[in-house]
Amino acid sequence: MVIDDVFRKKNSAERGSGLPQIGTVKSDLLANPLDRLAASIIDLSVILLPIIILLSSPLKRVLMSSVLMQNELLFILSLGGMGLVAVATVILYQALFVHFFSGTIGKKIFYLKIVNIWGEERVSLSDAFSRSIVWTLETALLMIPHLSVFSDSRRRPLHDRVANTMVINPSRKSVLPPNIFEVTFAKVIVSSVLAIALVILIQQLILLGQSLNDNEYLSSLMGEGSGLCEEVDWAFETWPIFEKSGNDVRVKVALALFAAGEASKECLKKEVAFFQSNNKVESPVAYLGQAFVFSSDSERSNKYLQRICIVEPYSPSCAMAKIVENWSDSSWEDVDMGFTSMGNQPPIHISVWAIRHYTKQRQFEKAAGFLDQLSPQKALAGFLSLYRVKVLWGMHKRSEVRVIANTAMENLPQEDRLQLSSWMCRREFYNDQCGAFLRGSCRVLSRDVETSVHTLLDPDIALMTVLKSQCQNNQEEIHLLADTYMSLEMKKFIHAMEFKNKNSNKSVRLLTELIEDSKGNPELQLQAKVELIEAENKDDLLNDLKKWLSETPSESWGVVGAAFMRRLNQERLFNDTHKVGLKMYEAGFRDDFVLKPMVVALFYLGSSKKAWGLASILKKRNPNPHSITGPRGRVPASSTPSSAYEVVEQTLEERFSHRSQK
Amino acid sequence: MIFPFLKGVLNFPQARVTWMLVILNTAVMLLTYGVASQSQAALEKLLRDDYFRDSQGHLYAQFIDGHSSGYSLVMKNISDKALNGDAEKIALLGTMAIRDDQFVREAPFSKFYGDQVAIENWHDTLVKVREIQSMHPSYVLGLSASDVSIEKWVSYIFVHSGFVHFFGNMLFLVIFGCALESIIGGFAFLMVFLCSGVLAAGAFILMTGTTAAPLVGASGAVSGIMALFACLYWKQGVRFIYWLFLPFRGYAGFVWLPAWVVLLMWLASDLAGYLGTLSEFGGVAYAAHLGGEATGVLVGIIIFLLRYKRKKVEPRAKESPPLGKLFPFDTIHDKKRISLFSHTDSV
Repeated sequence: MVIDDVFRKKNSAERGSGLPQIGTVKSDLLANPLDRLAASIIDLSVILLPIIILLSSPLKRVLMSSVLMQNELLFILSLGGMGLVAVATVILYQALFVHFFSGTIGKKIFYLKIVNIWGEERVSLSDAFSRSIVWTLETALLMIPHLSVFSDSRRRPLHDRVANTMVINPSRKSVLPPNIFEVTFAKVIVSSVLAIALVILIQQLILLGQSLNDNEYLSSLMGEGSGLCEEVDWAFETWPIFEKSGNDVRVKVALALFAAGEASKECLKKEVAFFQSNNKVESPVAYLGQAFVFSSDSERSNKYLQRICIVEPYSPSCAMAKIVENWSDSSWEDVDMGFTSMGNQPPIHISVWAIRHYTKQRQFEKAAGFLDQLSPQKALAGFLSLYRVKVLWGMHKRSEVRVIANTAMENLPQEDRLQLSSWMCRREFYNDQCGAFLRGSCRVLSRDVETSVHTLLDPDIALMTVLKSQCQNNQEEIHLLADTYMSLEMKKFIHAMEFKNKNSNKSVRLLTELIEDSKGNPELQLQAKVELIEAENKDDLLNDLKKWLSETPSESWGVVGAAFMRRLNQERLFNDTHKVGLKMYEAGFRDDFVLKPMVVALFYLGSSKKAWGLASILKKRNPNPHSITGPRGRVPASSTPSSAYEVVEQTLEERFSHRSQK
Repeated sequence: MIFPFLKGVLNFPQARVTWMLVILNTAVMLLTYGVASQSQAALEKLLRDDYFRDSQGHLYAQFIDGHSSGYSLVMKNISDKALNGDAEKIALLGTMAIRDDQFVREAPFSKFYGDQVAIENWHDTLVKVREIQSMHPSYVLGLSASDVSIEKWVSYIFVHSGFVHFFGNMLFLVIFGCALESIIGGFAFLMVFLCSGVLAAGAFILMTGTTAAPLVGASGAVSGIMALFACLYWKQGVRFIYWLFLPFRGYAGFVWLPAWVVLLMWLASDLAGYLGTLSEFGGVAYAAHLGGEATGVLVGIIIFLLRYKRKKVEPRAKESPPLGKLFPFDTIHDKKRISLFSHTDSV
């Protein structure tokens, strides 16, 4: 084997003496590099490829099996085997054809011949094998080393030099040795490819290093999970022991978390599917989970609900199934009976549903009963805090709820704290308007927003921030925040508020657009309705009032009703205020935002005694002094009452306290 | 970069049977297209429902677990993973189950554990699937495990799964059928076509086993035609057009390869396909191709043994390149061409 170019160096020859004879090797009949390339293409794609495909097909089957069985070892072995077959085929083909026929089929087609440079009749078998091994390696390197055919004086790449061979074209369609342009071309290409390969290699090494670091970090976060639902994994650790009996515990936990909004439907689906794959016994809890998973397909969901009672007729799951069916039919009395029949300490997931149901129905005492039965759960801390606050608020226990809320907000993680504080602040705002922003919940919300401005992406939080800026007349800051964090509809709302005093028609138009947007945020639409009531003219107000009176009561209906009451009082339509107030009272709305305007209306209608009665109730609920901010203004320096209610309350107090003193 | 380039096709009077077969296939294709596409759409809607698919996957996994002796290691491995809750494997089994004739026949009468509501839904859907299949032309005319009656062994040749499948088979039928019919005559051609189709089906059943998914298409019969053609022309050159991706004169043009080389290439390709594919996953019926090719070769050998002397072949033998030596390449501009059908230049 002589690698050096023997035609240049006199002393490097191994065989014979001196340089190879030019006449013997016919060095003036050098093969055209393009012919050599074309021959290689034919050899690889037409001759070898079908053979390699055929020989490696059994291994391909094994490879496919290994992928399906996820057997990494088998995959590597079969892939390696296929590679080995391919390489072996190429080497054998090249070696045997070169040795026996002085050229491969491709070379024969182009009249090329591989000859020994020392004039031997035939290329020896060892040389042929050496040549084919090196040729294969060079081809595997994207044929870049073959480019030396443009730089070597006899157009002999490494594989030719290794094997003492040369490729010639005896038919005289030969070419001259490479000129300076060819040499330069080859060097440029090789240098470029090497440079690009180096850059890619460095880049991949950097990315690999980064991904390794990320993987380690991720692994440290993930820890050892069951591979199922992470929320259930986490909750399971602190779940009460009495609920940990049975194979379907994870499903129960998933159901409870799903009911509380702490886990998604996908999580529940995964847990149910896992349970059913691994258990041969039917589980009513799993069927209940399926009923919720398929809640959007009522037919399928009902089949699961019906199956529950076939499997275990007297189980809590069967009772819950009947409750769900009654929910769909809005048979609230039957729902109530269903929950009541659960007795003491129903399963946690059923208690969570009961709490949600009774809170929505504004039956706060019953909701409180179920809340008291639930022991504190770390996994349900956010839900329990929020609903405890909602229930106490609904029961008008203002002082208690503020204390509990403030305590909870100190201990909850940010996500749960934001949910609680934004809900609470909103309710304070319903009652107290701008005065709400002095309360603890609104201060906590503001603080969280200041530290994490991205929370403004939540439309409910954004709305409270906008309302606060309205109260504090801080338009500039809110515009800055709106551009970065707030949605288009929120920006529209901000503009509507700006135009409220300058151009009420434009304000009304913008607010109406917001209300009529079918994809709009419900809380924003509710506030837009409230603002619209304050902004529109009297005729439109009375028309809207008629529509409102025919609607079904709900929490948002109540908020709108309160806005009507305030506006009607401003227009001195006290009879209408009284009518609205009675309707809301019958619907179960006894909040401050109903009673305060009612006090004013009753006073001006001449029913001072009734007005005083209501005012006394309000006073007991709120033993602390009222907020001293006006509806939309800054905090006044003095403590003189500025709202209509405060004026009336002071008058009533003077009148009736004076009488009682007498 | 290299493709057979036979010169044209014979017109109707010279290849009546070939064209009759093409017309018959086309007629079946057109008549059944409407029903086939509607049935297929209805089937896919049912089979692609995640709920049905996952339920079926669970049941199939249990079925394989209970009948493990009849299944390969791969299937048992997949079913084990599915029984352990691997959602991907459950979905995979759900799509494969409908091809398993034993499962489709026995599962509706078997007891399974798990979600009984899902199982009931699976039963109901499977009934609908079977109803649709009973109207689908591929199932009515194709050869499947549920119906191996004698007429199905022939009727399956004339129904195709889609236009691409149909067009591909007809293209090769026309190219090679016209050439072959001119040599052996219409009746013999028809017999070879049908026998190749029947024996291709036999080879498929023998090598792959019957499945619930029907065997359709003329590729087995066409493979037989192609193989017989290659045998009869075994020394003759088959013209190919080639291009070597080099933008220089002399690196594109025509080349003649002996037909036996071409036949070897087809055999190798189908054999590679058969050996490299997992039969559970269906797809191209390589075994049917191999069966058809074997039939063609067998008939070719018989013809040679009976000293078939119709010298439509002989004149061409004198003009074609001698055996064992490949011709130099023609460029596109080279006028001297050796035509395969030199006695009919219009071909």
